[in-house]
Amino acid sequence: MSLLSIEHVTKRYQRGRLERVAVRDASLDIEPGELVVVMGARFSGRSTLLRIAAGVESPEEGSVRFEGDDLAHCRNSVLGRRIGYCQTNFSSSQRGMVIEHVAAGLLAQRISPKQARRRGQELLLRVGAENCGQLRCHELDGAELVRVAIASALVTAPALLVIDEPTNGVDQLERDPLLLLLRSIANEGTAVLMSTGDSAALAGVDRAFTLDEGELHVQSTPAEVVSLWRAESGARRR
Amino acid sequence: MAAVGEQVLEERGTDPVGNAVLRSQVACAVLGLVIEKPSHGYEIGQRFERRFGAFLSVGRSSIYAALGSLMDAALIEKLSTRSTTGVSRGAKAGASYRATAQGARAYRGWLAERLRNDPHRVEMLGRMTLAGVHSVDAALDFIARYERECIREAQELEPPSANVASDRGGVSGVVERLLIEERRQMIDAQLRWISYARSELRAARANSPGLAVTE
Repeated sequence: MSLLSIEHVTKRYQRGRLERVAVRDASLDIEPGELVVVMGARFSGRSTLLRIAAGVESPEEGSVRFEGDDLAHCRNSVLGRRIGYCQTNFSSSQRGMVIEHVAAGLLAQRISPKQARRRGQELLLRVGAENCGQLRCHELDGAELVRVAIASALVTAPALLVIDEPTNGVDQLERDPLLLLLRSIANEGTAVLMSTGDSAALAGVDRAFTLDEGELHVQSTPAEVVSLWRAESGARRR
Repeated sequence: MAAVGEQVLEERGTDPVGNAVLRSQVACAVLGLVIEKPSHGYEIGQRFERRFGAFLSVGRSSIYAALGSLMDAALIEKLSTRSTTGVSRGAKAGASYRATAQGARAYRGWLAERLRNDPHRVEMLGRMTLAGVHSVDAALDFIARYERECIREAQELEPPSANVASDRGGVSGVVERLLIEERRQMIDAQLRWISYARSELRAARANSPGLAVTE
């Protein structure tokens, strides 16, 4: 049983008389601890697919199963708990300090404020934003916003982290450390599903898909690469 | 004053013998190794195997042949093998090679040309031409394969962990990161082209459904 299983999902948006198919018959599985990337241009449907994967939106056709359960039925119990949906544009205008924002997910689970803040600070340290706790959201730069958003999503120790375009709007030199952080989160057992428009995010990932006009096109794994390379090398030698 | 790019072409253009030698990838690789560190032929062979073995599978005789060609083109030269006592060690230790200034310039020129090149796109277009693409579906299939190659290459590029924690400091570390970034940006451009090509082909199919018929 896969951690997340998306099967033949289609999502349409209606704008007046026009209908746009954002995601068309898309299927993918994610296993625990995997780092999976969906790469696509703007308006390719990548953000919609991630919202569906996280249970933030429902598909019109197809199904999404998380740990074997239909997400349509268990959304409220898993979103923000077993699934961390990371909104990188979350709240630069939001009031309150960063640490309060990060701890909010635990407060909703009736954890004491003191414990929640302590856990929040641990998470900020984990994501490399330990100096941001006492700042306000509007004071964060692009990379700090993403790190804080990741900490907020991780605070409930989810099994799956879904993050939309983590490197978008991030300074070039901050990009690789962010990708390294996501890789390390996956290595520790939390599956990561991210979208990107930047091929830099593909380096070293477990699997990569491309999405074009709502259609998934490529599924490539390092193991597949190695086996193909060996097969081709063998053919050349023969 | 000539621009840098023009200067490189001029440098290479004035040396037809050197240009001819550098058509061989093995010779270029050997020249790079000699520039990196003057060495004996045997040591160059060992370093070649470690550095390029996965890409260029050649025997030691090819390495020595490349050294001979580079010598003939005056891109490398033999180092004096006389010891401080004045007794030659050449016969036992073998000749040691170092790059000439001309060789170093030619190598930089060759590198610059290779970096400008986009072998994947050329190869893809070549394959499409050879195979004869007679339908939109066949063209879309080619596009999908091309995309797959691009994604694979992006996955195989050095992951960020190695960049961040690299032990390679100084100029060589920076240059290595820049070269990886150059490939990444090229892959981004290729993927944008793929997306554009797909849109064009879909539009062609929608406007002329007959084009979708397979060969």
